[in-house]
Amino acid sequence: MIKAIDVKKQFDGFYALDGVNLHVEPGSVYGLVGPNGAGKSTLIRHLTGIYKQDEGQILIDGEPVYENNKIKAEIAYIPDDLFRFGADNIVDMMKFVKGFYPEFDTERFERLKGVFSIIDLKKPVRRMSKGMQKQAAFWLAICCNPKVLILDEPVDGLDPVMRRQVWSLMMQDVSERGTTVLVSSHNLRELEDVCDTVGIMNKGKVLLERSLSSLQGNVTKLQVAFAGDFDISTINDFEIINSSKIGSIYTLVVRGTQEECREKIAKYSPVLVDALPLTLEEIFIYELGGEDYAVKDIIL
Amino acid sequence: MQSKTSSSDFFNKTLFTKNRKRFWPLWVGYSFILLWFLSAMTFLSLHLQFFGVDNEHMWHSTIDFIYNDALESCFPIAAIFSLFMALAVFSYLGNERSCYYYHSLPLTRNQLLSNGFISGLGMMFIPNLVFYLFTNFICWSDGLNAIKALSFWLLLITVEELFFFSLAALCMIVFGHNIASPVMYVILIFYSELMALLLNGLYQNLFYGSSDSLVTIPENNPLGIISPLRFFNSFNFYADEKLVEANVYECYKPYGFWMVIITSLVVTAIFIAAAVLLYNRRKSEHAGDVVAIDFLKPVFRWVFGISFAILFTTMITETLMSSINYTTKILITTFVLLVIFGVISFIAAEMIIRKSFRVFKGIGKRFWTYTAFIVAISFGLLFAGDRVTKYVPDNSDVKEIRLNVSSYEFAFTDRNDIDMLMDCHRSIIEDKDDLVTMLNVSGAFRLNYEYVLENGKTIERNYFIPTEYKVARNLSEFFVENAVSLIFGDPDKTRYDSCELCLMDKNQYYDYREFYSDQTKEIVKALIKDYESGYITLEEMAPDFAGIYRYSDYPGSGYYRLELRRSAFYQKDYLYNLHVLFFNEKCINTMEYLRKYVNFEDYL
Repeated sequence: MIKAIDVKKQFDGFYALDGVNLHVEPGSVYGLVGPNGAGKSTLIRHLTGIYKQDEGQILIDGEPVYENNKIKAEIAYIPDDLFRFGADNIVDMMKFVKGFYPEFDTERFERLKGVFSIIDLKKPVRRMSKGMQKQAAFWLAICCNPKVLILDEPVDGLDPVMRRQVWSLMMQDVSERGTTVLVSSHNLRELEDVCDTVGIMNKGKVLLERSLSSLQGNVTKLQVAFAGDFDISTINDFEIINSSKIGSIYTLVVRGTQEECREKIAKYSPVLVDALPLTLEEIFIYELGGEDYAVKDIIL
Repeated sequence: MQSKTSSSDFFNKTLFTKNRKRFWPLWVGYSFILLWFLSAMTFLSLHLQFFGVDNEHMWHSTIDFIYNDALESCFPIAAIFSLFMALAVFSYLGNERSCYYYHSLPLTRNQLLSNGFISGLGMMFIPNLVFYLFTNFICWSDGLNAIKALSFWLLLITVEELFFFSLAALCMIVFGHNIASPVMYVILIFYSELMALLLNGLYQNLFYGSSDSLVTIPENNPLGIISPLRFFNSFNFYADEKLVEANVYECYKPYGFWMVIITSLVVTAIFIAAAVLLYNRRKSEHAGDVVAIDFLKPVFRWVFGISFAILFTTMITETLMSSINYTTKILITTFVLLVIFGVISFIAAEMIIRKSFRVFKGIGKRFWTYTAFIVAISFGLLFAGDRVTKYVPDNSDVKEIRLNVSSYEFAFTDRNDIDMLMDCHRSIIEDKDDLVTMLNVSGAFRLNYEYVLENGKTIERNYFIPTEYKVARNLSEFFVENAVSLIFGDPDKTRYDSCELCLMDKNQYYDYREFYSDQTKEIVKALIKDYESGYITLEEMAPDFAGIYRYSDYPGSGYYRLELRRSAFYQKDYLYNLHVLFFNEKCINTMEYLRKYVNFEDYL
């Protein structure tokens, strides 16, 4: 559905995108994660036809997005930094958006008034709080009945109840209408609940792109204890991504499924073995550790 | 899924409605301006009747108002409101957030541009049409048919708005900042005027004899559009005197109007083509940048650098060193200032582009290229200055010399006169140093030479000549000896368009009497006869002319004032355009002729 092929973009000699490759399957939810300045927003602006890439291709449904009205009419986009017209309230905004998106569903807009009851229909959007503005943007985006929904930090500023509502509405669209969703967020805990696939970006590149299940299944956290003194560096059967020791218990982040890891560590006769799946947040931290992005101990 | 706006659809109703609703204060304000400056003023012109003024007179003055005041007001109205409208409809380009939003909509850049044009121009064109019809109705209800005059107004304001709106839109596209765009728009409108002024000021310091108009903006020529201020006021509607009596509404004929219209439309088409081209090359990420088109950044740096170098150098030399013109000291100072300010301005341009004071990194190559250019240009100016100072054309190449002495103009085609005047010119150049010294101790008059060469080109030089200088004395004698022919030409060969006699009645109100060409010729002959008979002195008859070579004032009471016009309208040859002459009761020949038309007993 969405493809970025070797996309490069330069700003004043600096490569914000340096050969990005990305593939999003139709009807899936794709989580785009990465540190600040990784190029996520820049990539999203390419996917929505705002930026034109210097090199490479951006395709949605096999067609280029840039200057393509047909494709852009199928995309609903919620940016991190929302735009609103000076004195417009949500109804004015709805009339404006409706003028551009042929699939805009006015009845759905009416139905969703109950969900977004906190929004005063007569109040100018610019006078609303950041969270309410996000709700308004989401309300309008979802009423466009888009084939592709692209969200940059969509729930940033929303309260927990509204977050759940928003994710729920989005997932309903995915399941009922087969909407393809690409979402960029720093809230990895929430992405873990909704994403099918995750792409990790750093320094203008997608370092890793995999389904969440395979990603979580391929890295295991082992908590092991050995009798007597044990030199951890003698373990050479599998790749240790990270190791730490508290008391006599080692915590090892290693590549491999839980079963493989249990079998391999058993050779070293541990007195205690516990294999745990990693959270998305842990994967993010450990994967980027090799990219000079490890969490540093802070000494004040 | 089809977009509501297909890729070939250049009008989007939603965007048009949005702009109309968002920017209503602009088109309402614009409508009020038209209501006042066109409809209300026309109404007042028709109905604000003074005692004893008949309808026909009011109609005439109304038509005159439309052809003059209403048409003249088109320039400021169009220039100002076109900028406001362009700023409004293209404001999204100057801000990242709005720029990204608009460009994420299912609209191509060409569609955004065309919709901006339609919205911005629509907010002006619709009121134009409404007030055109309304003003016609006002005139019609008073029995006046002003359709032709008002149609000229409608055409002019429409074309001017197209021109200025396209220019403003282009500025919005090229300059991505909402403050930079209007500033650059205003600068572009006045740029050629400003640069001509500055360069003439600079040349006057560098070249001895440099005239105020060494650098000129073409007039009555399509190239004049480089100065819109001048260009859109360069046409005229004049009343054809033969038709005045026949039909007041049809008597106005345009001069230069169609050239203005056609040139404006051509330039507007170029602006629009440039806008389309540049908008498609404009990157969204440059929203908010001062220069939003990458390949125009070097152009901005160079033009900004050179322009400000000339501005500051001229300002300093004009204000601090005006008393030491043409010396080696000022030449060297000007050279140094040009280089220093050129470099500073270039760095300032870089700071503006980058929106940062940290610009020295990576500036090296282009900085040195530019500096070398500035040094070369400054050297070139010095050498050119020396050549211009010393240059006098060959006598055989000169067809005519036009002399302007203290704003009094003469033309000489006689070979002996030309040779004599060219000798004077060469003497002035040879005695340059003495003349500059003498200027500080004696009075001076301004002497302007304009050579018309055989090949049609003109060369102009301008000097301040001390009255004690030998050439000044020679010229004075020459003027007195040839006064009649210099003032009047040969009455049998010269075409006088008209003259106007100014009289004061017993209530001390002025009354003006107009005489047409043949009558004027007879008046001139009578006046020459009176002067040659010694009934009036040269100083009494032509004080302006006498003032060329010595101080002279206008005569007081007992004199009648006569304005002699060589040309009632702009012509290429406009010499002797206007002479103010005086005569009194002693001028029996003049009085005798004029008594056929004027009862002098009724006047003071």
